[in-house]
Amino acid sequence: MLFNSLQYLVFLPIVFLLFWLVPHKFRVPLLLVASYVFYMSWKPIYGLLIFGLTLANFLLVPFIAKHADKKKLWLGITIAVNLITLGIFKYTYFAMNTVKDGLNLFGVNVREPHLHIILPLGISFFVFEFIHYAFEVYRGKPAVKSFLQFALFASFFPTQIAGPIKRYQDFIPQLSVPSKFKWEYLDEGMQLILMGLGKKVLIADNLSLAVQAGFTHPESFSAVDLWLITYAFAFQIFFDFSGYTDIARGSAMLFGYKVPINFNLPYIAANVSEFWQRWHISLSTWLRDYLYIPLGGSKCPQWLNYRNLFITMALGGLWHGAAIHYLVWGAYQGILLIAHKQYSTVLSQLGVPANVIKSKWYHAMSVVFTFQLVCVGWVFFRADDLRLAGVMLSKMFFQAPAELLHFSANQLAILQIRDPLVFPALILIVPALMISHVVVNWLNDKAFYKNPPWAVQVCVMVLLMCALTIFSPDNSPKFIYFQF
Amino acid sequence: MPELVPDKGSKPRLDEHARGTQPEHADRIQTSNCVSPASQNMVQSNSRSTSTLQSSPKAACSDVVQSGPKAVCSDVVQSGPKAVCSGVANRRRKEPAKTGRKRIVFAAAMLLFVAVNVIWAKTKFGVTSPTDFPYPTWTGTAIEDFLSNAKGRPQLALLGSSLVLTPLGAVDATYEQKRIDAPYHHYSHYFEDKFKEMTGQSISTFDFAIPGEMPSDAYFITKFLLKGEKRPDVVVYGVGPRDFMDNLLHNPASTDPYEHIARLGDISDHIKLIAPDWLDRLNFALAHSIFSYGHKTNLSCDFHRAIADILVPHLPEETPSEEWEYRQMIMPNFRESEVRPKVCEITPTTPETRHKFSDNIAEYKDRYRNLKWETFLTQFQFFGETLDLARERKIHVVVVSMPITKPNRDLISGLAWKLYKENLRVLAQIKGATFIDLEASHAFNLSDFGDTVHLNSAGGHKMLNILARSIANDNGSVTALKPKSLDETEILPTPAMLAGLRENRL
Repeated sequence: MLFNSLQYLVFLPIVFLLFWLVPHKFRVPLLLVASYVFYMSWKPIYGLLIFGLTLANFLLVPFIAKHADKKKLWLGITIAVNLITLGIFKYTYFAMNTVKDGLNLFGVNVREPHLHIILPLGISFFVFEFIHYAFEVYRGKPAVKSFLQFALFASFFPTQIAGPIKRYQDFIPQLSVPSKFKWEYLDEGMQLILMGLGKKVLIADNLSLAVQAGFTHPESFSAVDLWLITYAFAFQIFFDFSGYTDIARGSAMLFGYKVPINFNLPYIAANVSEFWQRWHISLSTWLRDYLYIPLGGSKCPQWLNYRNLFITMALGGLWHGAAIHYLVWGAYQGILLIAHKQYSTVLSQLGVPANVIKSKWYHAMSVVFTFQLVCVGWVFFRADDLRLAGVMLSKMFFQAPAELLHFSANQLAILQIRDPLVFPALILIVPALMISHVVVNWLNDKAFYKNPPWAVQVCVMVLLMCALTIFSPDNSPKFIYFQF
Repeated sequence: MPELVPDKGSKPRLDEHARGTQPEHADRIQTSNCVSPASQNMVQSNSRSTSTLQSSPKAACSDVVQSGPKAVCSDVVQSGPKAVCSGVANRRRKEPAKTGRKRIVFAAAMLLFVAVNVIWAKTKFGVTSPTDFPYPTWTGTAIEDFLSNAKGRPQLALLGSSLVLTPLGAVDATYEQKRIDAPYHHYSHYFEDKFKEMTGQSISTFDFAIPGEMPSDAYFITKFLLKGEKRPDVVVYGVGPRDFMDNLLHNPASTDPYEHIARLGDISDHIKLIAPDWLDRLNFALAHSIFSYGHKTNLSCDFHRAIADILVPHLPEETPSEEWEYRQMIMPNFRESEVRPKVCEITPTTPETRHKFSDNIAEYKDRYRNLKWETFLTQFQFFGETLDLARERKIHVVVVSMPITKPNRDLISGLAWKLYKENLRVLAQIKGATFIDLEASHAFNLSDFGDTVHLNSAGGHKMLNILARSIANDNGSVTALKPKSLDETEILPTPAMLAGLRENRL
């Protein structure tokens, strides 16, 4: 069931009404049933998968707490169960193809067996939540006693498919608090849902048309076009995923539950490290807590610290998808983080005055430069394979200077297309979206933006409702992160 | 990411939508369940630090650990970026209690949305004609051409899918020795001449055969368009087995012709057939009750045109055909039904220059696989209703079972094939239509086909010759086509027709 589908439009109000009508003790079971209905509406059989993993984790993790002497062993077993499941469903084809390609290099031709493995929706997310739970119990937190609550933690439908990755200590206590319905839940929840749908339907889906064309046929576009299309993808994935997150958070809010935020104006980050504090926050903090720190974090010699950073990011890239280009994207992010760290060290060693580093122009330049670096990474992420990413990047880097030197509007392929209008409009949309980040960042400190007048809130909601009803496509593309 | 660096801005930043109400549960957890002093401290000191760790690896790791597992209970969002979320939490705690007015934002918005839609429905602001299509398609061009009245009332209309459309265009291209722009060619010159040659009577034709047209589409074409002063005397309706057993079709509303034709009138009396799925029916109900949603095609089209009017004059000049070809190349799946002038031309052919046979058997394997009885029965119901409606309007129908190749026919199970042929014959008979079984005529061989179902120009010649001869000798058709006096041509509407006219918006 997709958030931007009619099914969800029916499903959510029904669950919402039932939730607030039934006594508190029935709410967790109700949400659990609803979450399984939500999940099984896609492929009923995979309901067994999420249930099986939930049961396994619920039974295994208490052993970590009980056996202090063997808790490492039980942690290992629990993590292995989760990762093996993830590996089977997500990485089997990737592993087989890699082995096959490797053997081909030595002239050995192997026929790969044809397996019918379909990637279960959301598996990467709920597996990470299970691992987090095991780690936290290992670190001394109490295990969850109620199976129903634990099962709901793993399957809670607003966050089931693409996060945000929750922390059980934050989520499960909320389930025990008996609460009464408040209009604020509805207002805040619906505002988030409408905003999320707006981001997805009005912005991301429109940008996707140009992005799809550019990343499928880079040979048909000039280098400047490809830069614009790459910027467009940067905003497409941001609005797609943050739109999804808003809907997830808004849906949870309808039940009075709070789930973590995932984005915080990522494209105003002044360096890559800051970018990762603002982008997919629930994943980056997960990677920090359960991969980077167990690897040794920064509490080790510098080269080991760099190694840890690199491994964390490369595996984070591979988590997104079982393909080399995701791995390369992750590795690229790791290299950028290392480079940034090294750059900071060099700056301090050179004794660059603090007022220079803190100056506005330096900050602005840093933001622009970071955005460029992130966008280069998006090419690896979005391209179907590494070869295509190579074709795009070589064109973007080697042809763009010459094109810019002799620039004329006629060389922009996007201007040759009149319909869909998003192509020529990219030259307006992309700068507008860039500026919007800065404007929203500025507005965040303003009282009227934090607490807008009632009438303004109502009007914005009505405008969004009208726009969504008019511009909702019959078949909206799936959320990008659903494939992970 | 793993390395937390001091935030450049001193203030914690909010996610653009992280404002507003803190749910009760979260509030309670923050205030009552904060078990870790470290975490408490972190919440309080958050505005000044995301972390101080970067400069010191040792400090970094210990702080990171602290900020992760130990601190998480303190704030729902704290496990995320501390500076962001805890700052939010701090700020929220200081926020004054919500006022009563704040509580009704969504309810007020819903009421206003309803009011806007009611006013919109009354004023119909921005809504254009139902025949103002967003972009040209096979169906759109046919409807525009039909309603333009350029050729007056057609005496004979042809209905069907590409099985009818393809040979008609191919024959006329060869017959007239000129290129035929297929989406804009809506008559059969060859048939008109052939019929005149056989009967001495001049008739005008209109070809309403559209690629992918199903009997449900033919029904709505008949209902909304073949009426009043545009009522033909005879309808020649060519059907093939795909029309009744295309299992790739989700429902009758999934075709391109339907999308256009449904805008011309009220289809709610057939909604159970068109949208058997409850979701499709819900979608239909929403479109009927929410004005902006029901008219979204019109309204979004107007919006795009308005933007285009502003934007396009500033763009470099372009050649329409080049733009089309370019777009087709980079976006092959975008608006698959869209057509443009001169991009789908049929050229005159000779036996030597005719296109080679194209094997499309794989496509039809998919179409025929696992016969969907629901589709089969629904489409036959529409087929029967088309014949009923035509008879009610005094239009004589000639049902033509179109020929297909043996390899294609062999894909269909014996039972399905038998039912298809029997239903066609029986329905035509009991509804007073003439039935011409070209499929069983053995007049066509493989060289008459461009692929496993579509006739080429040679096959088209044969087909039109047979049709012209059959219709010329068919009493029902001849009577219907007989030139009438003014009184006879005047259509006396029956009560049922009047009711139909009232319900149709056109």
